[in-house]
Amino acid sequence: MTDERIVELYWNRDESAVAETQSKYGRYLTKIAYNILTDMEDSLETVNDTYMYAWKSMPPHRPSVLSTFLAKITRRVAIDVLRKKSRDKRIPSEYTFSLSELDDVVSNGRTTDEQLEAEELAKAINGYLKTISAEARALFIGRYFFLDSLKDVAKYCGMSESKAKSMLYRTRCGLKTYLEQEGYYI
Amino acid sequence: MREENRSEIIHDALNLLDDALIEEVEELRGGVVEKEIPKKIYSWKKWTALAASVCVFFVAGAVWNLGLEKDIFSIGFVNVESKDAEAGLKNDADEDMENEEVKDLLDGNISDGIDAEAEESAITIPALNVNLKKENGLASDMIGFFIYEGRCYVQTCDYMTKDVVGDYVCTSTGLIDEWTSKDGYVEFAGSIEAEFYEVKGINPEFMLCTVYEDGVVETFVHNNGITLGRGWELLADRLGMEEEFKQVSYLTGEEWEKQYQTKQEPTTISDEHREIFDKFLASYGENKFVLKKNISTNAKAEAVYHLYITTKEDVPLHFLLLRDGYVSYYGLDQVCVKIDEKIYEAVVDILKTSE
Repeated sequence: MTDERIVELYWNRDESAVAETQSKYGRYLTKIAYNILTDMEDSLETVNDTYMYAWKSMPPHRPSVLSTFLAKITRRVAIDVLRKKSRDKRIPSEYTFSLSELDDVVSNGRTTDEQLEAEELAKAINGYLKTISAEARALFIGRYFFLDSLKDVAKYCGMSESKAKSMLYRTRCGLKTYLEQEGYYI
Repeated sequence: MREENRSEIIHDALNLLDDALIEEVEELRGGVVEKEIPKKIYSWKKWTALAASVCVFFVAGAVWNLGLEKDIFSIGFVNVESKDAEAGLKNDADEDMENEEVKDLLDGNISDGIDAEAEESAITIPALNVNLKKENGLASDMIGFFIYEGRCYVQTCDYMTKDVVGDYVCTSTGLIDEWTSKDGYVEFAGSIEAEFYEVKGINPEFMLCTVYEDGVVETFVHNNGITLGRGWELLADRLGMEEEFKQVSYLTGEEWEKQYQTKQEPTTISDEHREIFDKFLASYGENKFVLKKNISTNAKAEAVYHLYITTKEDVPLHFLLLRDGYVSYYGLDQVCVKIDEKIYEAVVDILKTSE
């Protein structure tokens, strides 16, 4: 079923929307959740929550790209679950690994206002990602948005792990510089 | 939570990435509805076994037949020129030479196994010419080389300290000279007799080193018959430059020329410039190799600066800053990379002010 049709089902409050979403995107969303949570039960629960949020948000929302719309919900919900679970201890997952890697991006010095809006930061990150090569961008998004393992990103970007690791490092350094030039000291 | 780890702010922002950017990657991941991420099949894998099995054969002389008309013969991936070594060479029109796979290997259409992702536009460094011509009964410019696992490692004249020496790898027999018959070109043979070691942190398929009696370490690199696409294939896959470097130092071209006599140590660049050298490496990695013969004479005339970027393992990687933004790696003399000109200029400015 096309995405447009699935969105229409949501708008028509047709409960088969959820089943169609699960059929088309269930595995894709579970993979994203699992990359963050490393627990299948929690991941499935997260994906179910995704359907619930999707149901609540359509209408009024009409996503232009359903897959990314759902992916963002899953990602956000999974990260929230992880944050709740890992308040006392860190769970080893691609998410927690990536956190330490993203330390390269945050500076040790002065910080901008704690109230920095994520939207503004996202705008800057989007801006930066558009300045780099498609290859570097794919690696970055694969690793830090989809939270895929280094091995997986390297594989689907068609390069060696060492090259991917190296390129990711340079991209993180580049992002840090870019953000600082834009006035963001995170 | 945010106070605990500010990297999480980035993760929150990433949730607001442009859909178009995410979609690009979804496609790469194999599409959102596909069950598995597709596996890219690297052509080098299927060739590696073949190359391994035929290399020794080449070394033994199978490819001597190729260059008969021009008196140029291949030793593994090295061309050998000889005027006086014809005896016994024009025999054995080997049936294997009809094998297309073998021809591919000889033509450089097969990568060396390291550069798994060689692009269509990648270039193959031509086989090296080793002159075995006898003049007045003496060998002329026989270059130092040896053969190991079918790869030909060539002398670089780039010297390092003992700190970089890693595990023992092999001992070359040094049995090759201008009178060597084709049967002499076998594994471990070469024009130099020495023990070879890994260089710490460097892919041994690309670089090995030997330690001379006076303690000087010289590197030998597998720099011929290899295919290179972008700079990363050297930086990451061969030189192991995955993350941070330790320091950067340099010599001017003139200082380097005289270094043999002056023993001048390279000048270390202040760490405050680390960021620009990060960009330098990134730009080198992202750009494609070009053959030096295809760039302007002015650009390749001479190295303006010799840059030593020291790895975490204390190995000084030697780059040459040519003109017009071109940068080459010492030991890969036939190719270079044109980096972003602004970054090139920024690096040159730093070096100028450090003089």
